[in-house]
Amino acid sequence: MLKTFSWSQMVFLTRNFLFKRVLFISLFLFQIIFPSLLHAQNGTVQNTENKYRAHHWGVEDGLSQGTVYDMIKDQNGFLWIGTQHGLNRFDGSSFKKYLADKTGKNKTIRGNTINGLIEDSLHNIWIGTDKGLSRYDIKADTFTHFASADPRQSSIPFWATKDEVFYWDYPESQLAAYNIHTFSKRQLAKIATADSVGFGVSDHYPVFDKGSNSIWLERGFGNPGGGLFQISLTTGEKKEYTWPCFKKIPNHGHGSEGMRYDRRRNSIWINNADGLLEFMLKDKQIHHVDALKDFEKLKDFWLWAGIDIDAQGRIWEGTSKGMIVYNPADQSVHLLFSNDSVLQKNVTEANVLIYCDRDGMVWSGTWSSKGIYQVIPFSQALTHYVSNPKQPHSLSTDFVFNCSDGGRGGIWMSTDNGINIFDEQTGLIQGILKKDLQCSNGEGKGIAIACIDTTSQKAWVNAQDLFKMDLATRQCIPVIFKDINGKRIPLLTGGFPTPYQKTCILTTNYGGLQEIFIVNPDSTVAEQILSFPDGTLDFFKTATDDHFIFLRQPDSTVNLTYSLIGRKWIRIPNPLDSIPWTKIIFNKADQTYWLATEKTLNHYNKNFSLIQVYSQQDGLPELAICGMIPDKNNNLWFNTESSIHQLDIISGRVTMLSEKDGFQKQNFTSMLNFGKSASGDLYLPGGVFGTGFNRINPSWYVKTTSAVYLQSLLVNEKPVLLPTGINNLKELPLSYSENMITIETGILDFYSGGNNHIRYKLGEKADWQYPLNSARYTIHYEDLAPGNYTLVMQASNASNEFIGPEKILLIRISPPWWQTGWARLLFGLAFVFVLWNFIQYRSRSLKQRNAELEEKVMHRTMELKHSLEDLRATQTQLIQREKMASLGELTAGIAHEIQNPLNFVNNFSDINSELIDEMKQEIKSGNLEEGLHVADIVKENNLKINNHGKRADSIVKGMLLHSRQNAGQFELTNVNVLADEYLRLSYHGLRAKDKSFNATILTDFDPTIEKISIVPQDIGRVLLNLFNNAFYAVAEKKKIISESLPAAASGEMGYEPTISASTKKMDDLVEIRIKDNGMGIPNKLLDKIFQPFFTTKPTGEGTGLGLSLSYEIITKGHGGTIEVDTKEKEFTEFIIRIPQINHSTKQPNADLT
Amino acid sequence: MKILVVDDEKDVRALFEQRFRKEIRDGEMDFAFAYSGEEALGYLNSLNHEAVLILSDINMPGMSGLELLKQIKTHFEKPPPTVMMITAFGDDENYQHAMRLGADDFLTKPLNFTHLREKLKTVK
Repeated sequence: MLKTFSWSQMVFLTRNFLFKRVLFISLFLFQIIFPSLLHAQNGTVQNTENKYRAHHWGVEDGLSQGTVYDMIKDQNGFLWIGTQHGLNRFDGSSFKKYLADKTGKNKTIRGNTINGLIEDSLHNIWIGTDKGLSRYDIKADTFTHFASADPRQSSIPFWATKDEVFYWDYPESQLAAYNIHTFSKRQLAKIATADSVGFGVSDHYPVFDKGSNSIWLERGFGNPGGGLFQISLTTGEKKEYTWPCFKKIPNHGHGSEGMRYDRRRNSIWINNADGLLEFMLKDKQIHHVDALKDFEKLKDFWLWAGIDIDAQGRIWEGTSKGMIVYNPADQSVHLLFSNDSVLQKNVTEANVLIYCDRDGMVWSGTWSSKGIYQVIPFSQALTHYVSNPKQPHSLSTDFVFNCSDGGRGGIWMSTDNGINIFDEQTGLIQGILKKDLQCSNGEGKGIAIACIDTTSQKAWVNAQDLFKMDLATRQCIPVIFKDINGKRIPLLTGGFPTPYQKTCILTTNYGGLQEIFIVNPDSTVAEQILSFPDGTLDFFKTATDDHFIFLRQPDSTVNLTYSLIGRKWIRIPNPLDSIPWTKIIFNKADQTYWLATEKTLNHYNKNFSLIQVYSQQDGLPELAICGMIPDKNNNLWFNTESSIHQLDIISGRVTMLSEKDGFQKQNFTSMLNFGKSASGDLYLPGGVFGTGFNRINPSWYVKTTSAVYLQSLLVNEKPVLLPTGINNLKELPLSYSENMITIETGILDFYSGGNNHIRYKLGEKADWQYPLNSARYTIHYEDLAPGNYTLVMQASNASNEFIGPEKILLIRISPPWWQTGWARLLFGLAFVFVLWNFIQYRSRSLKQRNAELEEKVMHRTMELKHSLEDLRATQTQLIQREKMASLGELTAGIAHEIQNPLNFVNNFSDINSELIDEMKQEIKSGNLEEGLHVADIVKENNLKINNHGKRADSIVKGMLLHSRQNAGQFELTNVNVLADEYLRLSYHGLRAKDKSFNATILTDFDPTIEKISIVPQDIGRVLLNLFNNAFYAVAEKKKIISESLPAAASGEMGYEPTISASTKKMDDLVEIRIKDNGMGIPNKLLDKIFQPFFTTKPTGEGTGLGLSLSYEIITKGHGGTIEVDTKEKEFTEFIIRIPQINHSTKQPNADLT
Repeated sequence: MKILVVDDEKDVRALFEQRFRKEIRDGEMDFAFAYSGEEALGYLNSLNHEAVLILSDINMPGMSGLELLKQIKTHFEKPPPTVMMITAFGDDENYQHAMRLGADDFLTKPLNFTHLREKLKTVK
């Protein structure tokens, strides 16, 4: 079989390489090599040593005590662990402790020393304690206690029949039975001291033989010769069975420690000082298992008490050398964990019990307070190999960039310092340095395996030049490149190889073109077959099968597929050409194509018909697929930049390898690829970003499931009385007021060690909810409306995939009584009755009321006349209040405006006095010229004093004018001056209130406007009102922006509060526009802004009269118009148009001014 | 000593030139004037932050004195020039704000020029 590898020019990768790799890259100039896919041949025998792993659980993990006498897995999946102090319920990661409680409540055990656990046919658990027998009801989650004549003594259950539980009744010196339905007790057999049974841990092990209706017990240590003791339940007859001393040691005790009944073989397996014995019930013959004889020869070898039979009929026993598995079917013996001497010893040290649960897991309990060992019956699918300089035969370097099968159980690794050959059987590595090969004399240490033909044991290797190498002799012959005309081309180095039938296709750059060559396995010449302009192809993605070469055009949806027709390579249009794929592989075994795109994984049959598209819904990772390879069962394995996944071809689910599978977090480059050995193991090199390589045994990959269970339930934050055990709860009926529910869940999962999560949803069709990590097991609902709810819960498994069973709880919240059907009917009837009465009453009283009304109308008319007069007076007051309010806002502004000129007046008059003194001095000294100069300055200053005085004067006048209560007179006024003055007043007014406030003020006054006839204080008031509003709007907007953004960002937002005022002369009217870029006015409020008392300012800040008065002044007072143009959150513009009419000096005709 | 006076009132120039005519004549002080915060920043930038003392009004259209102060104290070369704020609104809030932004002194209008002269001399 031919195997090839892809090469690429380093330049594509250099950018991504870590610095430490750069040195290597510069030396290893030309190629990096990628393994291609290979198909498995015959499987090899797996090394059984790796098929198990073990995990220790102790007091530090929450176990109540470390000396474990018995364990049993219940129907729900919990493991019950009986210790010397307390009973434990274990869910795979956490322990729930049950300790004796003297109050006698039924929520826990009565005695703390747990001697035995037995599950009856109803799946309830019988618990033997030092205070008698108890029974745990698995559905109700309660304990029932059975009185013992002497509660200080133990009772130990050891057997369950369909209707009874058999147990040691020590106080009565008998074997007894409880009926599990009626709880009636009966004696099975009386035990005498002379019987020498009932010693220590062997109490767990009596066996009931249904065939002979007898019980088999172990003889104690004290009995010479040991043996079995049979008590017939029919006759009460007792009989001893002994066996010879197999070890032939004088005075040897021969007492047995543990035994188990084998249903398939109808025999009893006995763990004994003489070794492992099998007692056949049919012929009462005893057999010694000789298969263990190699162990028996060892010094300090003995058997501990633990013995059990697994589902496959294998016998597990705890020995001083470790855990031994004996398979009676083939007489094979395995010692577990032979690679790990510490674990090997610990797992059965002071072993008191071995328990094979129904899930294939094996549990070992210890005498020495060390807790339990969990033996998990499969090993991790992935093994990560890294270099270890201390260990001979390990990787020579951590930089491995391809792994390829060299046949004969050897995987050839290309690394940055030569080739490493990995022996699949032994796990040992043999390194070949470049200098040991006869390939090239080029520089650099790197050798890249390009192709291996396992049949002929030939490989192509690239060590600067391309060579053909004999795998056995390591002889190298250079490969020659020839162009399309058969002319020899000087050395070609860069290239990307892919297999094609028996040949190797090489894509490379030469002469400014992208060229494709083919190398035959029986030749040392690479012949050119195709040629493309530079940049046409993405060489890294070139893919092949036995018929086609798939060439990917970068950034294009037109890809090129070629096939050999006769002797020519012809482009054959292919359905895949239009798909922007990133990777294609062909699985020869099932004749299908796998095609990866950025987001999907597509599966095609050999005719390129689509079989299935897999997406993230099927578990596909978000990251793009890098390498792909099918395993022996046609499941697809692939990696991304940081993970390895398996697509199960049968379930269609994609799962991800996690720590439980041996996966360690690592990064892969996108161009790495898998290799596959003949045995079916997959190899993924770590590449530049990873270390070493990963070996995956696909058959060891186990997808475990987990299940949600319920721990506690709170309704309205209080525990509720449930008719059954919380975990058995299927339906939760609640009343309308009990609508706050808190459910504490747990996860049953013996594989993940607690690294999993739950998800839940209320209603089958709802979206899943994932609790926060801080409350990862808690489900909480509040204010649930009356109705029926289906709470669905699910737990993720060790790979964090939700593939386990869904747990369902129906929550029924009944409506309050007044919302029920009959209550509604009652309400309806009551309403009809009341209505009928009301109508009766109304018709009687209406006539009477009519007369009363007539009288009232008369009275009200009189009152209204008075009210109208009052209202007029009030209106006048309100208008004055508005005037004063706007004035109030101005006071600070005015003060500032006056303060500044006054300062100048004071300063310049001070200076003038000084200057006059100076002037006098000069005159006295005869410096007349200097005196005159000073006099000029004095005069100038005086002018300034005058100007500033006038400035202050005009401000005060304006203020008085504004506040005057009676109506003003029409005067010829300069609108530009008026607008400017009020703009300043308004601005300073606001500035006085908000010191940080700033605004850009733009004015555009039309100088051609002549004085027009207006009432200046009225128009001034309008302008002031509009300016105040404008400033308020921009200030608000600035505040909102700065509150919603951090200071720095709000600055960057570049909101520049801007107010503009402009005037314009138009034919026979003057237009004044006042615009701000503030909050704008919402459309729905536009109709209201001119209404009296409408304001958007907070209560107390505005009178709501400003705009309505302005409207009156402009329209009624001056016969003009006032319009508003606005866009919410952007701007507001008021447009005032006043006609140029000479009113001479008359009063305006507005009623309201 | 170069002093930059920033105020939107144009007559401030005449006022300062006359009040400090002796110091100017003797070459003890050298005044420059800017009529807005923006102009002041432009001036400082163009002269490579030459002024060692800046007297600025707070209430000015456009960039306020406080904004100018912030700009100077955060963006100018170390050590930033001394900045004294002047305002007609001598309230506590203005004062606190100016001090938080790093003002070196806080003066209220009307300015006491005798006092200011003393201050300027000590800065020197």
